[in-house]
Amino acid sequence: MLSNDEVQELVMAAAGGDQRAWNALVDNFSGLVWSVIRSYGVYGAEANDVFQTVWLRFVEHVTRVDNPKAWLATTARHECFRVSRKASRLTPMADVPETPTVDDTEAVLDAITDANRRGAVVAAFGRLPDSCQQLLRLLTEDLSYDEIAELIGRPKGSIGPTRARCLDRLRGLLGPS
Amino acid sequence: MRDGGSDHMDAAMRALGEALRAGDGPPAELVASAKELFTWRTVDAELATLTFDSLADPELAGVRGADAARSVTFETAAVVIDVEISPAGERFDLVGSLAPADAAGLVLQHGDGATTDVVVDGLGRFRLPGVAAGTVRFVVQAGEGARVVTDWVGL
Repeated sequence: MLSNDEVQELVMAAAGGDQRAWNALVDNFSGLVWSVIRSYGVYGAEANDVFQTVWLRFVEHVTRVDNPKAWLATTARHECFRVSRKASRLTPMADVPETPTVDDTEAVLDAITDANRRGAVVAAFGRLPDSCQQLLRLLTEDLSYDEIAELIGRPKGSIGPTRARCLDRLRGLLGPS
Repeated sequence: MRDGGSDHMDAAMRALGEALRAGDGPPAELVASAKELFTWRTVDAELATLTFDSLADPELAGVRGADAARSVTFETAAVVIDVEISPAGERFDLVGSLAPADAAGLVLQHGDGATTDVVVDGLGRFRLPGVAAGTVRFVVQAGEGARVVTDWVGL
């Protein structure tokens, strides 16, 4: 990811019509836009549609937005609501289990960072409740808690505890190492 | 370190992100076409931003029926365009209004470059039946150029 200063320089250059600066912005933020789309459970042609609409709209907004990252994430969310009724049902995060967390976060973090278990982690992730997948996906991107809270429509203070519950759920799905 | 995290947590979230993106990142052809979209940039026109979209509101979107009309509003300081979008089979019927009323040249522009002239009546009302699905925007023309362009919306 580029620094905020680098992004601002690219935005200025793109505002002046610099295609290469635009390309660099697309390269830098495509992964974020895609993650937000996936975090709302949008796939296939609908995902392509959202991705295209977000970038097309950004062409005219690139000179106007203060925070391109937040603008792109929010616009992607809106477009997910447009194409998918499922996406709009995803908030608020109703299906995150309320089970007490076993304080074994370190073990699941070890599993996640273990390159040998990458396939198992991805498979287990796919079996998490949708709202856990949503939150964890957004947490893998370079977004602040404020930005994530805004995206998922939940208080900032709920993110840490919910993340802990979701990681606990992931630990259960992974089983012993 | 990020808010409320630890180095271990940060490393785990990075690793999880890499693992998820390795199997499912944005397709290269989509990224390439996003780069080409830059040629759509309009320099001199004023942008009428999408200030309301009934589908972008999760509460409205969640309860809508499959056949319900969608309502969108585009605004600049001087111009407001309201549009109701109703599904009609595979296509969409658009009914809207341009304020202030200006019959001088409203155009619907499609993402593939095609344009459709819009007939605006004396009260600023217009009707566009059977618009194909896709990404569209309105352009208020002035002479050879565009005076106002709206945000793109997907139908």
